[in-house]
Amino acid sequence: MNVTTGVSVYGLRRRFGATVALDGVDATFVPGVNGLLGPNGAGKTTLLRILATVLRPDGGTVDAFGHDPSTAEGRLAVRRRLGYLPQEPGFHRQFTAFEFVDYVAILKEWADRKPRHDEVRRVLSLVGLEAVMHKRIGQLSGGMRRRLGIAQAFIGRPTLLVLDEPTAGLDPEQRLRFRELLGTEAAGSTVLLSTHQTDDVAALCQSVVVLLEGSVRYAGAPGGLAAMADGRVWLAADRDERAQLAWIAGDGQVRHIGDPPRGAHLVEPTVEDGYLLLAGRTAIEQAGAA
Amino acid sequence: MSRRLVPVLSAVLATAFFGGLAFGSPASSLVFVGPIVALLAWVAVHRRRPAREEAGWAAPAPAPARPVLAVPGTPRQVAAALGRAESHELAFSAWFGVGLGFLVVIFVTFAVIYADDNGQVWVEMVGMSPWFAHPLAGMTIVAAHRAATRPARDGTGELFESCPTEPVVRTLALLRTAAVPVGVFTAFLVAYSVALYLGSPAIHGPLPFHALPVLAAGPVLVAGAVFLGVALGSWVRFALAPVVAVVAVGFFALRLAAAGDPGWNGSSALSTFGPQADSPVVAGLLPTWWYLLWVTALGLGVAVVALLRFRRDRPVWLTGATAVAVAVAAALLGTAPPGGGEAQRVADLVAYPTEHQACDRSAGAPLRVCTYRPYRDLRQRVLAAVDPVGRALPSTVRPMTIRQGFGGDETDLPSRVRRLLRTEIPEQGEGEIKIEYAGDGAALQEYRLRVAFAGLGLRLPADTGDEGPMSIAGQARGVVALWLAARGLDLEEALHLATVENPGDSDENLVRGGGNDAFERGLAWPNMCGPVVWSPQDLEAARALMRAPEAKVAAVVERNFVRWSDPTTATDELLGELGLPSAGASETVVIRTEAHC
Repeated sequence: MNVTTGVSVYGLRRRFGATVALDGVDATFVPGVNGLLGPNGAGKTTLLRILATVLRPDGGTVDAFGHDPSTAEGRLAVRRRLGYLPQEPGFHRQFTAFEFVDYVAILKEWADRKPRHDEVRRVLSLVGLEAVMHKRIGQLSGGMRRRLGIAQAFIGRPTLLVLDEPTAGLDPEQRLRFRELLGTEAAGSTVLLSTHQTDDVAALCQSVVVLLEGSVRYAGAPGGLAAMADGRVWLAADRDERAQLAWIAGDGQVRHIGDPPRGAHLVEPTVEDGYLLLAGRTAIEQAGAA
Repeated sequence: MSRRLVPVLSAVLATAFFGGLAFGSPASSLVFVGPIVALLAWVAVHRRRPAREEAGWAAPAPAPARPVLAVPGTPRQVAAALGRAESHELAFSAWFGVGLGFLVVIFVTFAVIYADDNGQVWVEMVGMSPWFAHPLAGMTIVAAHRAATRPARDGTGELFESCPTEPVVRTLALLRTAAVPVGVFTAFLVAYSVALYLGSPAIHGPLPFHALPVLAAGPVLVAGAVFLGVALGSWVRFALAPVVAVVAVGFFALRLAAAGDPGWNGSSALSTFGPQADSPVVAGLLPTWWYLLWVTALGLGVAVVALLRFRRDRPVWLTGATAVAVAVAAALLGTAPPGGGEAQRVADLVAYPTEHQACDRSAGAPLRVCTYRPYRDLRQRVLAAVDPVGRALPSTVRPMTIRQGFGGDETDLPSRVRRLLRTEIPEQGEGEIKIEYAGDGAALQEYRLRVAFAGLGLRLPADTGDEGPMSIAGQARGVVALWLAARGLDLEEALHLATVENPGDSDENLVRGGGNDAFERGLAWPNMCGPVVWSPQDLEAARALMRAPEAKVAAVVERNFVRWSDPTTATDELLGELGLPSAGASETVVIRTEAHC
């Protein structure tokens, strides 16, 4: 891979007290949408925060477009290319939507008022908030605030987009709009997208990294993740206690992952099947909760 | 934009309303809040209707050409742009609105409601600039602290940190918001000064060069308030930290301002309230320039403390060291004894006032008014007020001089000036009436009464001190004095001079321990520290004289002036001579010295 066009991490380690959040993570994120899957506590957010230059690793290196964020110059270079949506972005509730995005645009060094305001209006229109851009953020719904967070990340069409669970809180239609947005606005950019929505990964991502307990368990194409479950996903009328994972699907049949139960028939695996096979029961419980 | 006005205007409204309550009834508060209510109503009518429904997210429009940030803004440009955004937030914050409310209260109180009562000299009025700045400064500290801690409070810190702008640039931007309170307070000073100039004609005297630093200190203080709020926010996120700082600064500033009071207080130059003098005579000795340098250096030092949170390079340290050096120098020089030449000049002004004064004579009365030379307008104003009184006095009355003088005692002078005094501070001389600097309506009424009493041969002390006023209840000379003092006034003003408004109302008369007794009902002197007190019946008699034909009363007064000057002549004798009904036996006035003043 040409390091000047993507992001790579080598042996990345990070602890929070006794908790190991990242334990020697190696990964490469190429231009396009890169999904990051993993149960809660797997280290996804820690990895994204390091890539967003707001958290320093205890060990390992980051190479972002040929820049080393551990140096002041490298960090500045990365930040100038970065659009970041934190997992829980705060908002100044007394600001209007326009004022907030405008403020972030200034922090992104858009000092000239006219082009900055044009850009603020552009990104707000991208997420359908132009009609309420002069409304105070405190008066916006949770979904609208999420879209506001997405809007600010797109200021200046950054070449590196770090989005931590961007679709959390969005309804299905809005998730669809988000996919469209990524398709148009993030073309050519390197996008890192953390999510619990495996269908988002299947629909959007050119590559996916699965993190479990601070380590990379899979890195590759989403199809490859799905393929890991080839020959191990079955549909049956009844639940088989020997199955690794089993749940009742929408059609009333029981979907099994693992060894074939009696009377079952093999089905085409999905990204979710592959991920769940990797992540195990903990993941399915958390995915269900999400 | 209009909706953003609501918090700040609401805060202004609330502060002005409660400020108005402090000065009178709820109705009087309407004077304060009326304009603001009107503005809020305008906002309510013109504000944009909020969106009623969830804004949908339609398919994104075809993206326009890729936005290009050709050249990232320089830190200076970014700080300027952020500063504008933060200034907007500060200007529309509720805390800042409370500060604005205080300014509204001050303006309406002193420049509108009590405009006619402003009779001080311009030096004293200008000296109020730091005092007026403090309420706004206090609220600005809180507002600036909240702005500096906003990312931590609202959880935007991580997002902001991921941006290329360094925290020190954000701090610089916050420091730049000082322009808002500086602009607001400067506008207030201009409006206030214009209002006083137009609406308070009794303010008089020169505006010397040494007064300007005190005027300039107000804007410097409110700028320093922003710096302090930002510095606190940079280091201490605790929400009550700015409140603690405001209380601490206020406490120490007041202690420094009041140290040694009454009397000369050299340490007052270290108070943010500014150097204080009990008399304009010594105002020229105040270290006003050192004070301005002191508060400027303090402000600069605090700004450096804010920057040190994120940047500790050589320029910042050098700036901090410079600020500390300047502050120390200003503190030492500001509290040092005044220079010898200026001290000698003030000593001469105090000890030998006649050598530094000019006098204007009355054309038709044995009367002249002498003031220090720069106070020509006061001289003319006093002469115009007392001239009709002097003309009503018989020609047999000895000439008298109203002379301006230093109103304090030796403790009000710096030690260096005390040592240079070659004589005692002159008391009120024979045939003289001593005045100080007041030129407001009440002071002029007092001068009228003093001239009248002096004409009647009753020499009143310039200050009653702890002895309290003397009673002239039932004496005709007190009634005649009131009639004489009312010469040149229209009937309404004349009757007002002989009337005690709301007797027994301690709030109204500032007389404590009261009760509606004869003392309070007879205390008609224009201020609470008057040297004489009449009986209520005397005041009734005086009003009867004022309503009677002037020529008739004048003839009776002049014909038997020696008799009316005699303290044994009763009020009823005067009324009888004029053919007016008796006012009744005078009540006995029991002097309450402890309740006086």
